[in-house]
Amino acid sequence: MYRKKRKDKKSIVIVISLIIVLVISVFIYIMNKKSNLNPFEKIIKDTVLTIGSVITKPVSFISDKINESKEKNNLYEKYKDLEEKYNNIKNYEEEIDNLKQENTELAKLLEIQNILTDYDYVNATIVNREINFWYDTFTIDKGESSGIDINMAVVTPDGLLGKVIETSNLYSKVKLITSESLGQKISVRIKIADGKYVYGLLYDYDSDKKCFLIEGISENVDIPIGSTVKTTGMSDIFPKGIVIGKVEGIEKDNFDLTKIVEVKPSVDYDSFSYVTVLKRKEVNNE
Amino acid sequence: MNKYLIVILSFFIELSLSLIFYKNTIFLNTFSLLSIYIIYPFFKNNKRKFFIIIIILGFIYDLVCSSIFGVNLILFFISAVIIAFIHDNFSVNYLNSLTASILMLIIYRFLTYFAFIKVNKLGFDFKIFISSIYSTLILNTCYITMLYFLLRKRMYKLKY
Repeated sequence: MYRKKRKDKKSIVIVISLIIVLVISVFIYIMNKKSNLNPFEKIIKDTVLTIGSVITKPVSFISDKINESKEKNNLYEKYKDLEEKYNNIKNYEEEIDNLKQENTELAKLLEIQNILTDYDYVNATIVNREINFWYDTFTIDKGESSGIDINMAVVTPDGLLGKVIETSNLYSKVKLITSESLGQKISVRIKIADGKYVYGLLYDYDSDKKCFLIEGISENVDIPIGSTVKTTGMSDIFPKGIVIGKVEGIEKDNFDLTKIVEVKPSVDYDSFSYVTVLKRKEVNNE
Repeated sequence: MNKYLIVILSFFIELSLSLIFYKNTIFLNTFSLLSIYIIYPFFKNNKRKFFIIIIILGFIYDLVCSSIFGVNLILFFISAVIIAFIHDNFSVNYLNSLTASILMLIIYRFLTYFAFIKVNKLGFDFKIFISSIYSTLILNTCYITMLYFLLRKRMYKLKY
């Protein structure tokens, strides 16, 4: 009787272990499989997130009010700061107009595509960010009905965030560039002096050091710490000139042939609520 | 309280709170997972229905929250099996409920983290794993306590 019980226990442990191994294998298979949402899934996702956003509204309202009251303490200082900035805006506006015109003409001359002026901006709010995938994905409240499409770049005023990987009618899922499974390297350039740039590839995010890693930079190039890193626009997804961060450290690769540059992100990936999706302007052939 | 309402409310509260409490705080939650534990006694005579509800919840959770489709569907199902085992073999009291839900949480976190590092070819970081567990303890303990004392009488009646 006792032996039989022990045997039963053993077989239960074996079965449970087998199930766990099987489940983990299925996980890995599923996780590596990329799939788009079908219409049925889109409807479910839209419905659930819409209900969720309605429920979240009162909570967001209260937390916004708390933040608002905190900000009111520094109101006078902010007013003075803004007044000063406002006085300079007129000068900037004229300068920006001239630069835009020059930029467009030069881009035409050089046949450069993928610059920021080619894009429309769609502002969106984050409606969901799951704890387990914090540095991986988040969901925004703009979807296909707002013209959002897969592989559009997503930014904040501080810099590059990621790209759209999944869309439904009302919502979209964005993959952060901090994600290990972004699936592509990003072409970047580092400003080493006035008018002088070094080009490299952003290939990884070190979650321990909280910095990006750039490869493909020659051993002979001197890169000052604190240099700004921006996108080059040499891809269909990320336009030219979006800030990634600043150089924080430089290391040599395993063969001492090239440098690995560590870049401190300009965006705080822990706390952002509003984002901008860069939507390519439709070409008017008329 | 309606058993379905508990699950639906827990899911939406989890969704809302994830936007208010950012990461690295100690106020993270997995209320949907805990709601499964609490509703099990209501399905004592219809376990099939219980598992169907868990599969639907996992499916929606994946669709809305997770970046990888299918993970939570499987994890919720495993959790449901563990819950059924605990409920069928142990008595219903506060200490058991709390211990079981914390155990479930650790298993859930471990499997999610393990799958994530496997796919992304990352090294296992014990600190991250531990922090992902303790950061969820406060809110989850409060929630399971609240649900337990709200539904205690009905749970006893259904079990005995």
